[in-house]
Amino acid sequence: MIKAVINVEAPRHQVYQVLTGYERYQEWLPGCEKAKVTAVNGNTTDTEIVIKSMKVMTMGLRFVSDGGQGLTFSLLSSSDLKGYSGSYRLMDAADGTGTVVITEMELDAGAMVPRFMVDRMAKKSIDDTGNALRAYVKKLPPAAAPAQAAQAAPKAAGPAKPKRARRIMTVRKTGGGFQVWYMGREFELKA
Amino acid sequence: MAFTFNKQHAEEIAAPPELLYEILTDYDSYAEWMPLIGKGHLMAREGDLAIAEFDLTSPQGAHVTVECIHTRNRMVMTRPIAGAAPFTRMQWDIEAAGGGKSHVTLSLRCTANIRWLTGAYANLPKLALRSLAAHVSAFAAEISIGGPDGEKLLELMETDEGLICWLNGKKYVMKEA
Repeated sequence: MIKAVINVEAPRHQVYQVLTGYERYQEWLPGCEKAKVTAVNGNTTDTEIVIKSMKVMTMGLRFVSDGGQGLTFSLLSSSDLKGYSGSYRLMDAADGTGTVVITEMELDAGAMVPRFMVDRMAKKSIDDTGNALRAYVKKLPPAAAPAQAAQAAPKAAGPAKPKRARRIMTVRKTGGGFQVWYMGREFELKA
Repeated sequence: MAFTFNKQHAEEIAAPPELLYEILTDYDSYAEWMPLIGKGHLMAREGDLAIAEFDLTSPQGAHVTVECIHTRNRMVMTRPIAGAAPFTRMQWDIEAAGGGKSHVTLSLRCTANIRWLTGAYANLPKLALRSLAAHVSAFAAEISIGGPDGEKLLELMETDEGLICWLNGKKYVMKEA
């Protein structure tokens, strides 16, 4: 399983919209020549995606979305790949600058292709996809926050947790001189 | 499958599990105490999962992104997602030991890497626990240095009020210039 983490400078709902806008994948997904939704059943969407890489590949991919938290994908059909699955998990960036996207991908190109080569291809694909997503989202106009996200916003911006008092330095006079405690370390100064 | 081996060290630390858990999940402050960490930054946190990134001091310039799974006051487990970390898992286990103390175990699952034979890497679990023990003393209500007859001349504390300075028994609140 290959993993990657990127920070996208856009709110989570906007990143989620891009990732679940399957029919617009050719606008940003590297190598994507065509993307078509073939079936929708609740939060499950089946698609047909044509990718041009070293050769042109047509894949049937099933996406299962998770209400703004992320989505998983798995291979339905491909004449070239034995397996292709993964997930995007979205989290609000701790510093409020956007969305942290955690991507996981498993690629199986069959017994004829060595594992290290497959992993290298998967890593490149995951990195290229992350960079393309970041660049595409940056160009989009700011999206209006959905009601659900707007309700969550004040909670995220709530009062900060009180800071625990922390000692930085203590100096004590003793019979033989001075004892200095500084950030967990003790020093003795003899008179 | 890649060759891996385990390193582990355990110590009793004079701090309650809640304080240790707070420190171990404060990724922005790791550089203050954790060996080999030059800079730490929490990227995201939701429930028991956090994503953090660290700049390492050895090898200098190395950068690691990790996912961290927490069990409140009991366990903090870190797995690298990206970057050249010489371990596949780092886990802190905390157990209350009574009297405000805790029994802390640090376990590392290390990958085959020559760094484990040298420098701070060679004794990382032991060094990390010693550093943690020293760091928690900063949060103790009082520390015992200089013996019972020692007279406190100066103390600097970082609090919600700001930087507090006690000088010869008088309290001063220090303002940023």
